[in-house]
Amino acid sequence: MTTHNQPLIHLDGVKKVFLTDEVETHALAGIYLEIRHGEYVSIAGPSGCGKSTLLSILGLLDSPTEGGYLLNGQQVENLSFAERARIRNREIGFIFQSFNLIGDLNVFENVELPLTYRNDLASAERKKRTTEALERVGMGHRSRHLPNQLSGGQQQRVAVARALAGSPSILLADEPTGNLDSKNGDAVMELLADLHRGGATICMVTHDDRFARYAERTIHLFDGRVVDDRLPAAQTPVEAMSF
Amino acid sequence: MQALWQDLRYAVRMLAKSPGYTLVAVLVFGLGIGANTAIFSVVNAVLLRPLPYPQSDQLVLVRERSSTFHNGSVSYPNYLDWRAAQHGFTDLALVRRESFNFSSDTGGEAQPERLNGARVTANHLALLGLAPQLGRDFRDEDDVPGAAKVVLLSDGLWRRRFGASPSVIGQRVLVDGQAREVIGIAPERVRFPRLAEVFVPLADLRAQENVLSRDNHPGFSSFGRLKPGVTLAQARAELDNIAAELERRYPETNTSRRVNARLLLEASVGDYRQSLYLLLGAVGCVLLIACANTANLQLTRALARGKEFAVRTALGASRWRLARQLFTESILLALLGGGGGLLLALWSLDAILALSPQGVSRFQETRLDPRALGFTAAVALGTGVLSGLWPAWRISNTAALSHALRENGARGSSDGVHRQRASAALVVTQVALAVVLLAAGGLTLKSFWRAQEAPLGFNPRGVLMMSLSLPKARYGTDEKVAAFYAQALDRIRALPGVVAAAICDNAPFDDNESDSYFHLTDAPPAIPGQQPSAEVSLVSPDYFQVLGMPILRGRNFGPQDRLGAPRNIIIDESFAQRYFAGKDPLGQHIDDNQTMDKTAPPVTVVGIVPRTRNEAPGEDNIEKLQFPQMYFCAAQEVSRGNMLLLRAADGTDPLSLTEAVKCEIQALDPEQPVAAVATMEHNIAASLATRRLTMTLLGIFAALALTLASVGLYGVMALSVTQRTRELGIRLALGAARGDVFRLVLRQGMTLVVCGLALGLLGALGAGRALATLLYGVGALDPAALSFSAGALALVAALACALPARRATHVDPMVALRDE
Ligand SMILES: Nc1ncnc2c1ncn2[C@@H]1O[C@H](COP(=O)(O)OP(=O)(O)OP(=O)(O)O)[C@@H](O)[C@H]1O
Ligand SMILES: [Mg+2]
Repeated sequence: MTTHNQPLIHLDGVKKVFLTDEVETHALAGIYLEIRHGEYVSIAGPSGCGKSTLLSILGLLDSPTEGGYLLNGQQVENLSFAERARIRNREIGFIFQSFNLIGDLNVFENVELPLTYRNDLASAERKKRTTEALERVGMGHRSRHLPNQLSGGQQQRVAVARALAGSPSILLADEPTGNLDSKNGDAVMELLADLHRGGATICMVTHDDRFARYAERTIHLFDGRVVDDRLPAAQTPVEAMSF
Repeated sequence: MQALWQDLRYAVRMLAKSPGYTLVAVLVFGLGIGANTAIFSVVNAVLLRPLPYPQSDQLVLVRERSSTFHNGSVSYPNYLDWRAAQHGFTDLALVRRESFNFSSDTGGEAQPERLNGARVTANHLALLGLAPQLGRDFRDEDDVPGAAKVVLLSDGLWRRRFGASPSVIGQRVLVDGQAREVIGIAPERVRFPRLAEVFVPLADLRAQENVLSRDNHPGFSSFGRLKPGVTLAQARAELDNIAAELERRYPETNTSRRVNARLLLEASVGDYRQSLYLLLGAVGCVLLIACANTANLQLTRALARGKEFAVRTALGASRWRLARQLFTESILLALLGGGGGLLLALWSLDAILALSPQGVSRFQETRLDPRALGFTAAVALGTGVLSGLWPAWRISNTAALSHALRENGARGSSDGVHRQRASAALVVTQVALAVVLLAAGGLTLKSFWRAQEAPLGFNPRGVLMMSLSLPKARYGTDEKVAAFYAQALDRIRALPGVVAAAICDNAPFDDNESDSYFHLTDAPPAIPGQQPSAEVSLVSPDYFQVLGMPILRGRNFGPQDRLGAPRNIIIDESFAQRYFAGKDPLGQHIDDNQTMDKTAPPVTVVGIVPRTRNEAPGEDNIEKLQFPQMYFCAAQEVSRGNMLLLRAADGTDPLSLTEAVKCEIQALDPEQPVAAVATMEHNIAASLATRRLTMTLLGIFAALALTLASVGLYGVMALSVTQRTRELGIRLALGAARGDVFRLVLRQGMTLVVCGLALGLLGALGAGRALATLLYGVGALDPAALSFSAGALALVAALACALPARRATHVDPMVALRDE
């Protein structure tokens, strides 16, 4: 790991313009942002303000139209497809709103999947990490199940395990509770909070103020710009509980 | 009825709405059905159609069978005895294919023509169940030695040479230099003996010494008509009994001689049965592939319309109703395909017939007749049902329906597992069938190549050949015949561009064969029925030079080998090895087997030449018997009919010499026609016609199968990639490199291919066994042919998978973030 006194993520005037049918959409209109190691950041804002776009750029699924992006001190905005795939695999853990488990693979194989894309991991090491990740989210006993045999909450926990398995630098979550009822949503948020307490860096998009409060820091986007970036005024429930 | 009409109208609307899909489906159906129509119409014309004679299934061809030949020609005395003793046939006739010099005018500007004809007993037409369309038939009085000379003409000849004029009856024509009265015109449909245009009774032949000899088999065939209620087996058994009795009476000549009696149809076209059924099997496979292909297309489309069907169910449509709707569409597509297939068949038939063995009229008579049309309709209907079966069953499955409703908009990535399994099974089937066809194609290709490469023992390049026959009427003595040929050869040899010229009565690839028993003078007499046979050719000295054959030992024929001088022969290597092993063959004596004179002095071996191959290899012909060869000098043993062979100078097209040669012949004798002008290479190629037909068509069908199967594979893989877009996007988002995704899709496709390959190779083993008897010089399990077919398929299949796999690598990982 690189030294911790430099920010994990540094965005410098990132813009994203989509061109469809001659119409330019300025999804991101110049984002300046830093995220440090161990931070738990939530991104909030109205629909269409650019949250997912921002997350996709942070996760190297997409590259900015303009602006710089330093990840762990490395310039990443102009990397090739293959290099970006490599970084996604090693540095980024994704958690999606719709879980995105692969239906033909069982729980264990789903979690193991990102590790299989690394060429430097022995099979035994892969199995060990996969098992650990599953234990970590409390799904170790379900490793032979297929995704459609699990509840939504369980599926999302498996998805979290998959994101964790590769020991990424940051977990990126886009509305991780969007497809869950509140009880299951709470459980997943607890899990993320737990991971954060264990040192994980998390960046989460959410609509829900209730869940946003789990984060230490909330960034408000509006029309592709950061309009507010602050720590929550009230203490988070996590801290409250820890008393 | 009303409902059916409604279904039909709706089907038309649905198909019109997606013209791309309709076009592809109709094209696939059309290719499959068209190939089947074309081949079936050939099979029908050649094998199935009855012979054009009344109760033609009563007609039986009878030949002789011995320890050497299973299908040998009939000795005239044997025929007479069979005919007298038998009761199973209404009568037996005797026929022999011949060719005649024919001219329509007995004097003046005669235009002689060499024509195919036949010697026939007087009952020939009557036994076929026919009578002349004009004039009268032969009577028994016409068919005795010394009878007035008469002739029957074929319909074709009558039209061509006489403008179908009725006044031809009673006219005199020249047949082999002999004036004959035309007494009748045979009906148009007579095709037996093959290609005959001139029919002449046996008459004088019946008194000829060599014909009357029981151990002579001068090319006759016998045929008869079974009496009602008598089976072929019964008639055959009776004739065999008679033959056994003849063996007791004439052990010298008839030991182990029995009969070979087959239905006339079988005897005429039985040789082609296996090849044609093989081709029919091949197009059947192509059709199955087409079915599997369109079934997949329809399945895909039906499931894409899942919502529509769900709504219809909700509105109360029964399962049967839905299935019927799909069936209607499938059958409509197949019928459209059938229409296209018919056009394809019509268009390809000419090409197929051009490839077919020439001179077998049943091939050339192939038409899209009502039976072929009925077959097409049945096949189209059948394919429509077959390919609609699975989609209809799937969609009418109510469980699947509710699934489709729920599925709509669902993200469950396990959707369509059933569909994928069905598609996979269909693709595996297609690949397997394609492998079988490719293997069969590979085997026949290699077999053809082997047959073509089979050593000849002579150099066919630059050799021109033609046949001519001097009529007895004008060339009554051996001296006259010998003089004509000697002069002719001198003149031809002097032509510019001619290196050497010769005659031979039994040349390679001349569609003629002559063999004879022989006896080594010093050896003890052979056991009757076990005499060795040799092929016998009468050749002029330059023959070996024309064919580029070296004299391996001894000498060539020369001026000293003239009429009246002691007779010498040249033998081939195989003769020397088999009969003079450990001895010097030169100077050895063999009893003269070319004369009726039992006291003639033996002939002496003076030279040895290489063994030649005279016919197509690996077929049911004399070549199979591997007889050794002996050559007599044409000056000492004279034949009226000969092939004239000449070698053209390097750089001269042999065919370009034709007119000059004809001129020289005409200069010597203006009434002397030549026939069958062709290069040796052409004749060799023609001897492989059936093989070429089988190979070419199988090759085309294999290519078609490969194309259809690959398109099917491509379609399924492309669809699979589309359906897996989200999954692939997720994998990419999780850090899969493009190579990972490419390999994933490729592996998925190639798994199907490998399954199909394994199944197909199993099938190919079976097909190879069925093919085995048709193959020459290549085993049914030939590793090269099998690996070629597997390799070709793997290569094309890999390409068919690689294209969708490549597209898969371009999936945008962003799809993972979108929540549809
Ligand atoms: N691939 C694309 N092509 C064109 N426009 C796009 C594309 N992706 C996003 N946009 C546009 O960019 C803007 C931001 O979209 P984005 O998905 O980031 O919003 P969001 O904040 O995540 O909204 P939501 O809360 O509804 O998920 C929107 O106006 C959207 O229509
Ligand atoms: Mg969004």
